[in-house]
Amino acid sequence: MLHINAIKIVIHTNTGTFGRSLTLKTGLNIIRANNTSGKSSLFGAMVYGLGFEELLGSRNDRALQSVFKSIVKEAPTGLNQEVQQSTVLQSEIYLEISNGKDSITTKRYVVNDKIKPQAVEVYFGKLLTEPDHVYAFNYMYLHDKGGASNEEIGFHRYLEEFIGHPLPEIINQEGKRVKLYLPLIAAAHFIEQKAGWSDFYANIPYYGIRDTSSKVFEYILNLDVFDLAARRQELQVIFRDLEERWKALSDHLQTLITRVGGELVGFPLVPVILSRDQRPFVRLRRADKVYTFSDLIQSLSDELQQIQTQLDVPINQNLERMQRAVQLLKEETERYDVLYENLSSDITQEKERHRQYSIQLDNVMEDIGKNKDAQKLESLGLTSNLQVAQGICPTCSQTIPDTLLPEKLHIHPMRLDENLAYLEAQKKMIEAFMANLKEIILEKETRLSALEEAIQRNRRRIRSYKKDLLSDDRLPSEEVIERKVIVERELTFLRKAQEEMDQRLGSLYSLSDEFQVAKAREVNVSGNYMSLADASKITAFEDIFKSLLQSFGFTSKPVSTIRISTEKYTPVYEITQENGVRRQVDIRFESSASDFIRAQWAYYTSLLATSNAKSGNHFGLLAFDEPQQQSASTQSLKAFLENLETYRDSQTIVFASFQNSQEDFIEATKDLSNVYLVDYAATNELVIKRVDPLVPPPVEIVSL
Amino acid sequence: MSVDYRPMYKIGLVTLILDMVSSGGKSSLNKLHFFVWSLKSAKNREYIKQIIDSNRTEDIVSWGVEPALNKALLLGVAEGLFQLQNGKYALTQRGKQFAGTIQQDKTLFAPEKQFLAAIGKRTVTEKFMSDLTQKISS
Repeated sequence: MLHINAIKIVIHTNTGTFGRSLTLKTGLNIIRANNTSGKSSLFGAMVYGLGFEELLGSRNDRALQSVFKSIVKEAPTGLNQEVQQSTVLQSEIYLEISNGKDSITTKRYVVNDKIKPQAVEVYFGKLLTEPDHVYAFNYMYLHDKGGASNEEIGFHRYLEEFIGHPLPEIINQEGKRVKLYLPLIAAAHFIEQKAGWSDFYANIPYYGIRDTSSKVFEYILNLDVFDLAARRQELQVIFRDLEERWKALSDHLQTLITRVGGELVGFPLVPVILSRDQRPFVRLRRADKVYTFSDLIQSLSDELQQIQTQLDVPINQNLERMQRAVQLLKEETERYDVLYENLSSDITQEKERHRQYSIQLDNVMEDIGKNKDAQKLESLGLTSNLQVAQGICPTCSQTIPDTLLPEKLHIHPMRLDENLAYLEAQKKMIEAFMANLKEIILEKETRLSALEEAIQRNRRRIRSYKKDLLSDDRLPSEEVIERKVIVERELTFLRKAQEEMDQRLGSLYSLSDEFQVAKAREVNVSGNYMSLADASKITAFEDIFKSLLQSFGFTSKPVSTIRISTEKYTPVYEITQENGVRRQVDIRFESSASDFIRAQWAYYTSLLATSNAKSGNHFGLLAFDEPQQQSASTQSLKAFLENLETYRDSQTIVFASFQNSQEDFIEATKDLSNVYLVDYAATNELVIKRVDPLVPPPVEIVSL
Repeated sequence: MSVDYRPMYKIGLVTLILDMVSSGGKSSLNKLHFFVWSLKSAKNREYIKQIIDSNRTEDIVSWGVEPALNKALLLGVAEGLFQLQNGKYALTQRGKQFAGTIQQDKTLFAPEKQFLAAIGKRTVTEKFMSDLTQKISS
């Protein structure tokens, strides 16, 4: 909880010190002051002392009135009929606040040569109401980076702890976790006069958080849904992160696969839950055959074994086998050559088709552009009131077809929008064709390069065999030795690649597991799920709100048709349309101006009342600057004040002028029995008044 | 049907040509045909741009002439956007207003405007056109 014990304003000027001290009580406080007497300055000082001056529209000293910063005016007195003006030299604001257990006092400068307004001096005690003690103090800071989070010196972090309701973390629009800032919450507690009454939470500052006001509502009533929404947002971040990691892994796999000459089968490009039975695998192309990793390794191992047996065999014992091998290799290579030729002419054709499509696509795109221009021209023609654009002949006023072709052709032109739709469809189709073709080309190209490699290997082997046949036939075959080296090298390479592949697939499965877990969590938080406790809190809020509306004299619509929207938690009318469908309309649109003010009184008060009844996170403090806006009647204000008086354990502070009228004041407050009244209007004094005239130093007279 | 046969589209093109590449907002029919054909496609624009930039007018083979333009001009005159002055087409007050509306929308006729702006009002004069016509017919 947060209550204000006392406020003290000190303004040093060139003609002396001005200021005001004021104590406040728990329960209803009314500060009566006439218009332009400095009522809002006092409200501003209160908000400034808490570091909530963004509610006044700006940060630091910029938010405050000129009385704190440049000129203090005095009413004309006695003989002097002119308004006295004094120049501000230094000004400071003290605020003593309590959380029900402890009290602290903040001191913040508005104007000071040395100390910036961001600095807050925090005294750990009642500096204003019990000034005779010596209190320890600490310097803290506001608005700077870390002001809300810095453990040591962030004032709002300290204030959060002092108030005693920890603020939840939420995800901001950049996806970062941030605290729900205190000044946002404050927007439901302090309603400023100038812009504060223009809408619910009208002065809420912007901190890059989506649906800020709903979050404030959820926080104040301590709703579970708050937590739920935070988890939902957190999940979105997790999904995005998963997608990125999945993509990175897929890129890695892709390069690996290209290196070993193959393609990845059954590998989804976006995160999915992968089944264990259908693992993604690699299709390796060698010559005109396809292998899996283990098949290829097996077949190479077999070959190696076979080579081992021939290593020491001299050529002369192997002549016939070698000649047969050369023959076989030649035949195989010829076959590969034919395949290669066919495939490469295929690819050339596919590429040509791709090029044709690409030209066609360019044409369609150009056509789409021109048609869009034509569409715009037609609407420009309509706004310029051209008859041609309406399909009317400007001369004879008869309808003309939307074409310049001779009428003899009897063409019924397609309408422009139909034409555009047709072209867009064509564009989509061509793009699909092109994507498909590209895949085909890619696949054929891997096949081609596998063939090319096989042809080259075979030729190398044939050359080696031929060399063997010419060399000393008592030696072992060079071809066999060469082949041994090659096969061994490829085996090592493949085994390493397979290992890496398995490892990557392992990480893929753990990503898939993470994805599954996130999906499961998504099920738990999805839908318009609202806990029973939340529903009962919102119903309670709605009931209180409606009964308050009734007692404040709201008449624009029957109160029974009003609901609290479950999306934004603001009041709406529910109307049933002729077709039986129910529709919700913002309360602002159907209310008279004064009823909209009544609705705001009821809204902020209901937040306090509901939080009190359902152990929410409300500060237990409401401050209204000039609530009697838009000529809301004094009778209504009376009902409002009488209601505020009932929250004995909370603090409500109303700054009001009662339209500068004694009668209005008496009328509105006559039935109040438990109010703490500070009345500046009765004596017609300014809120900021001279407290200590500057006595000029005595002039020293030097006697001769 | 190609958009080249939509009355409003063609009227828009003519307005643009009279507004951007015709000195005094006036142009002969011949010149209108020349530019309408130039603006027909990116390819045509490229071709004409290159020839004008390199000043090799002798390379021009021909350009298209289409009856659809004549019909669009008839409609435009009836509409009060264009008027005939000494055998040349010119923008009327209303036509100038319409040209202004077309210029306001930056996305409308974007490549066309870029092309015409690059050529400007001084390059393709009526003399240039008659010389060109001479070259081709001889």
